[in-house]
Amino acid sequence: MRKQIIWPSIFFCCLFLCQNLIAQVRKVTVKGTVIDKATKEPMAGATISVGGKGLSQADVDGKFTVVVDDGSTLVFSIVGYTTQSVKLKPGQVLLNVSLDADTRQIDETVIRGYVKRSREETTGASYIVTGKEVQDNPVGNVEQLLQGKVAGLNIQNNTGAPGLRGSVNIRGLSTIQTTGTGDNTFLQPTSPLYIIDGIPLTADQASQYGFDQQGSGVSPLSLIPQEDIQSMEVLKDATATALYGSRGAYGVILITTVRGKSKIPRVVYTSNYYVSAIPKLRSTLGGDAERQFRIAQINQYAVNNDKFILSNTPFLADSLNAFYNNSTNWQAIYYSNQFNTTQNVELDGGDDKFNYKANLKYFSQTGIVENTGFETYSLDMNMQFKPSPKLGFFGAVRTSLGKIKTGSGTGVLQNIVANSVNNSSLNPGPSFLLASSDVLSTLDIRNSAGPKEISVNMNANYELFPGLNLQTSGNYDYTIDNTDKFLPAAANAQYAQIDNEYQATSVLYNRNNISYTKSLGSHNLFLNVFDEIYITNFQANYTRIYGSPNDQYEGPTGYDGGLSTGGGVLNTFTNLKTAALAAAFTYDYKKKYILDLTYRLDGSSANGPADPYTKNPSIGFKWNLYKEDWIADRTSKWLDYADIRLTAGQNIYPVGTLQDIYGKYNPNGFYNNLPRVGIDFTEIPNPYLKSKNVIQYNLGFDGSFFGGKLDMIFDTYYKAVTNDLFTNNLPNVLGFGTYQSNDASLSDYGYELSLTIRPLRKSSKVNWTIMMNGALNYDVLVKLPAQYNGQYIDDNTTTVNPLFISGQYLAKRVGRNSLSNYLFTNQGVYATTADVPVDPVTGIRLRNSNPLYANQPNLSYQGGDAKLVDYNHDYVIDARDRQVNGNTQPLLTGGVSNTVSYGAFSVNIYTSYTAVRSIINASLAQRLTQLSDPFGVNNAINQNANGGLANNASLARAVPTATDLRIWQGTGDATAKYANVYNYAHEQYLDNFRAEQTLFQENGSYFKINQVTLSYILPKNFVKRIGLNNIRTYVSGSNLAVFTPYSGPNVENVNALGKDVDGAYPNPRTYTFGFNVTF
Amino acid sequence: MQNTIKYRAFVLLTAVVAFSGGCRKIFNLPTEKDYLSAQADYTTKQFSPVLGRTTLELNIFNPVGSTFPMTFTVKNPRFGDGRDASDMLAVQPTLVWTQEYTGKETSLAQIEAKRHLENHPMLETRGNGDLVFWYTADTTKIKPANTDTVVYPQQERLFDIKITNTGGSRTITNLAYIPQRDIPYTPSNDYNTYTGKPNTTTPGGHTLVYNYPDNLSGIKGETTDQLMSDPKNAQTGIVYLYIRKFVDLPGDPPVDQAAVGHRLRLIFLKTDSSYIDPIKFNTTKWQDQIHGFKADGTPGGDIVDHKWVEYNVAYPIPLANIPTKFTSGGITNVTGGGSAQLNITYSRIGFGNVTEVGSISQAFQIFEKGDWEIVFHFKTVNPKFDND
Repeated sequence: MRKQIIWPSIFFCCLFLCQNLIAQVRKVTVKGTVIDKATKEPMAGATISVGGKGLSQADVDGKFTVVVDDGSTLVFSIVGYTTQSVKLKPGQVLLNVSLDADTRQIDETVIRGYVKRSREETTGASYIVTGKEVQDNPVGNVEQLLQGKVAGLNIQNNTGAPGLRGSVNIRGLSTIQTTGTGDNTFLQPTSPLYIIDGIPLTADQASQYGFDQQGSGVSPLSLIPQEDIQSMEVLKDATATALYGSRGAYGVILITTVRGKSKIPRVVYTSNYYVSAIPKLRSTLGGDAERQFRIAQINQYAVNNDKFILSNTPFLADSLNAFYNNSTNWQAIYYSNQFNTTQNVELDGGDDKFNYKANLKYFSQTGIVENTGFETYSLDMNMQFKPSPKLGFFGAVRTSLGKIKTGSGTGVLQNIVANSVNNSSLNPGPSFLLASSDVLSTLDIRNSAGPKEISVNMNANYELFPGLNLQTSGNYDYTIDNTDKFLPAAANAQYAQIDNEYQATSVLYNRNNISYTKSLGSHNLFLNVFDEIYITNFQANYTRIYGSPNDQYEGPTGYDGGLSTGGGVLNTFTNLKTAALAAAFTYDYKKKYILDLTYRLDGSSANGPADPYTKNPSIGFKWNLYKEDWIADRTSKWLDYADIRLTAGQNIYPVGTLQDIYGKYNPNGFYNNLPRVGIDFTEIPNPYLKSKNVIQYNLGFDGSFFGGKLDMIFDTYYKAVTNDLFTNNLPNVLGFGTYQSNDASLSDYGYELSLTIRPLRKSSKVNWTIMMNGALNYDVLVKLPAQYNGQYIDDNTTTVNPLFISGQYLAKRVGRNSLSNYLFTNQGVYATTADVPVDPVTGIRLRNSNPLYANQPNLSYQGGDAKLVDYNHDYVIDARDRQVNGNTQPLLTGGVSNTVSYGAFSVNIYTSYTAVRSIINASLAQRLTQLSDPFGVNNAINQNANGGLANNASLARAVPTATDLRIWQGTGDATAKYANVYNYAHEQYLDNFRAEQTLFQENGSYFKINQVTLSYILPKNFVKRIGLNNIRTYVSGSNLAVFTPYSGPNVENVNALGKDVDGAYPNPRTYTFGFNVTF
Repeated sequence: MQNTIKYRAFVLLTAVVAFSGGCRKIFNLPTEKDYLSAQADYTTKQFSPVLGRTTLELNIFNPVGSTFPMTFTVKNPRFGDGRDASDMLAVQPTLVWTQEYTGKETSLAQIEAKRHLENHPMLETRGNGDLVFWYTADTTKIKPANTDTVVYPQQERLFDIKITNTGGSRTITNLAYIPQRDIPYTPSNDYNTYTGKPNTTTPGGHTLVYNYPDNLSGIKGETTDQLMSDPKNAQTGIVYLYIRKFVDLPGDPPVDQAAVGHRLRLIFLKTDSSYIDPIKFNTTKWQDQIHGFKADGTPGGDIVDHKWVEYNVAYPIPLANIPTKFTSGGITNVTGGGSAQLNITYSRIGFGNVTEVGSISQAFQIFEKGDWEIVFHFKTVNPKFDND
């Protein structure tokens, strides 16, 4: 045995010695620097080798010294860069090398089913965004920087609230599930599954239903520092996501955090200073202009005793009254520009055997709305240890603390603020002695809220024999999220209000896998088998108590039944357990033809007990065209690589809650001294509930042309979402109100194209890269529960009384886009009263149906009113004249990023676009309504009921300017767009500005300049002189401009159903100055 | 070269379009169609409109979200015993409104300009499922279903309605039409609504039922000097109200032939059935009582021969269910407009030099075109007009 080792050793030693002997001809010591060609940063850790033998590594400054034979060829390599060979000229001792970042997508390493693979050998559709692309712009949630970067990933940053998320969808809609009705309808979020260093993380908060969620609303994703991200990979098709099975149906985003890779420890300090600027706000009339406007309006259109009321309305009539003699800019009280900073320190180091990283971050963002903001402190560490080539460990700890202030709102929605900023300018602003409760509640509410998260994960792998790998990994994550809110008595009708919410989430995750690779000549096999267990618990408690001794005393409060609202566990309670067994098999022939097969068996407690298991197969095929000789021969001049991918597969997502499956039981007191527990009759349990099923077919083409000048990825897909949860209303003769079924289905199909263009030659000093992508996605509603017969308007009262519905309803109709609007059709404005159609039977002009005023002549349309189409020809405008209209989801999304670098300078302009989408501009509707209310009661009838003497100043809304709107100007004006808004007395009967009409359904397309960054790397010798390694500074502006035909305040700041909700948090514009120092 | 590019772009575009269209086919995606709810139905299925007047049955069809426009077709008209009843669908020239009636028209021609004749079946459906029973269906064309309170199945007229939109069609069966005999005017206490004959207190009896004016106030009996506020009280004086057609008699004042057939007279009779001179109702604004016109075409009524006030009018009265100054409650009564209103007043100096105002007010409707008179007959006591 020993001989067997010793003899070859001796032999090899001889061989090496001989080599040295030969090499002794002439030795030279070569010195030099290795730098990144694009950023000019030193490439610490680059390996320098000769003839396949590593000689040395570049130090932290990128410097190296090697002793080699004169005239030999040095090879410089480092992960992520193109390997470069340089042949030394005789006598050359100095060599500076700049390495090109390896941008060819085919050479990327991708992760499939938790195992690293080369992109060349996988069949799925995915796209990688490097960490560099998500820097330079401090954000509360890194997700928002992915907007427009990946084809098919539709991100709408629909809130500017610090720390909160927008909506994220991969490849169109995955649900038609909505909560709430009317104007408060929200789409169930279907965020992709995030996998952070191999550990799944759900970005949606368990209690988060749309906008008005409970809890602090901070997404776990907001706690991941953007500086700590190495790369993000977006997996789109079924084969790519197949192995993430039980929750991968909405797509998967893999985040890899930074690992230590430099032998010499490295300290990188990143510091950002930025200003969040308020966007353009609504222009309003102020002070006397407002008063004159109101008085003129009343004088022109007064009916009944309005003029008498006017003289008894002090805020209008008594212009000398100091109390009303104001011109308060309410918007300035609530919105202001803010200055913020973020600081991040990263320490890393090590080599392949042992490396470590620690990232320490402080992020702070004061919101542009008063009393809002978000702060995080996080410490993320990881460590990789490879005692032998066969054995490896990886451990990571992520800890973070988030603090969010939401003012009087609930995070995303700021209703009180939205209401307050619309105060009439005649009202006095807040002062020491004088403030309304709205003002106080917004400015003086004290809340302390936010998540505290700790996540630990550990991973070990062992190579039993070459090709066979055993791996196990485990993770435990515990997050508590509590909200303490104290509303002072002065702001709440003399009763202090204390709200407390506490929620805790725990996640336990374990995965064990065996993978085996084997090559048999031209045939390569890969097999991966793993099991996975995921257990998550969530519980939220809520209490609210009124009354505390004084405004300084915030607790502890005793329990007083009379002042407490009770509270208790919220019904978002979750206890989910899933277990899965999965296998993946890949076969390829000379890497030319690749076949991927996966199979996954999932058991989930979110399925009904009758059928807890789901089988999810997938198949993928890839043909690397460029490896075919007959193609390569003809195209080698211009084709770098090309392949065709064809995949199909299925994924699931658990949708039911425990309550849906098992019902909810309430304690109902005692009877005969026995406790009674009875089922809650609101919902009948459905033990047959299944997980949502997503089947996806994908056809893709990848190609690179002209030596990397043009890279292209094209995909077309068909995605069928079946078993979507649907809440069925039961007839009222049954004891139960609703039940959940899996009877809804929809399909998406579309095309995605990503192009990367590098128009200049590689040798050019200017480096110019253009990345563009676009995705066209159609969705079609395929199925609704049978009893609805192909259409469901999300308001069940339509079946009770079709006449009296008002509000923005959502229509779901089989065969068209899944989520449409249900609107009145507007065809302009009646030029004259004679233009209004007359009922031939009754002789009455077209009327409005209004339950308050029955069938009154006041309800008749006249010149200057909106021309709404009477589809059922009954000369009455009522709910039956609504039509299914528009598409709340965008058809086309994408972005363009343009980077030019020259020497130490680099400019990046990054834009995104969304096109063909309907938005209900309720904001404009509301603005117009505010023009139609001179008394500030919105209803003169109420005023009459109050004796006509009520002082309504505090109810009066600001008067926005309307000079930019084409409002009806008088009899005969046939080209007006908006009805006569000034005739307030008539308007109250007509409701001309109901948001639910096609007039306000506007085109929501936009093109947005997301970010412009200019960066500069300070000259090396200068940096050296001050004892540092590298300094990079940058200035960037984000959210700079939006080009859109939409007339509302912000086209993006609308909810996922395209409703421009009043009270949305505006998106700030930010200007950042930052620098990045490496020690 | 450019052509080639164009051609290629065209091919590519066609391929894309074909694929997107193809996707729907390959995966068998449903195509959009209008929604026709399986639950869409008539909420009222039995209609008993009065013949000779237009009845619009509103909101009787619940579409349950079905998409309009929708067509409604009356099918299979029949009697309860299966006999054909398609006579009720006969087309008649019908006056329909083209512009809104306001009550402010200053001549008969202006009113008539706002409506014109169109052919309509006597029973018609509208776009929202409403049923229109036109006034053209009267007793001469449609036999009333019943002559007393009992309706036998064979007297009912049944029909089906087929509802269609592009999403499909359904037939709602067995809607019942039970026509009621014309009631040409209201108040109609003196009219037997089953037989069309004068009403009696008991069926087949001989004691007639009379109409009495709605309200009398401030009128004192000439002989009794008592307030005649209750027209049924024989003590203070009975006042009958007749709404009836008249024919021109030889002794009457000369008649303008053009006005024949659309006249309305207000007549006040004494106990001896002689005329009270309308001028005695000295504070009455005659032009505000009836939307009618004088013989010369100007608004108001002619006091003819100290006998009556005569108007040239357009029927029915009121013309439309729209509040005007001629309807109950006037224009401020926003829910009014259903019936016309008379307010006939006079004043006299009462005992002690006090002005006493006497008034008769009466709401009424007249559905049938013709020469009508509204007669207030002071049956037992004449009103006092003289000053005390």
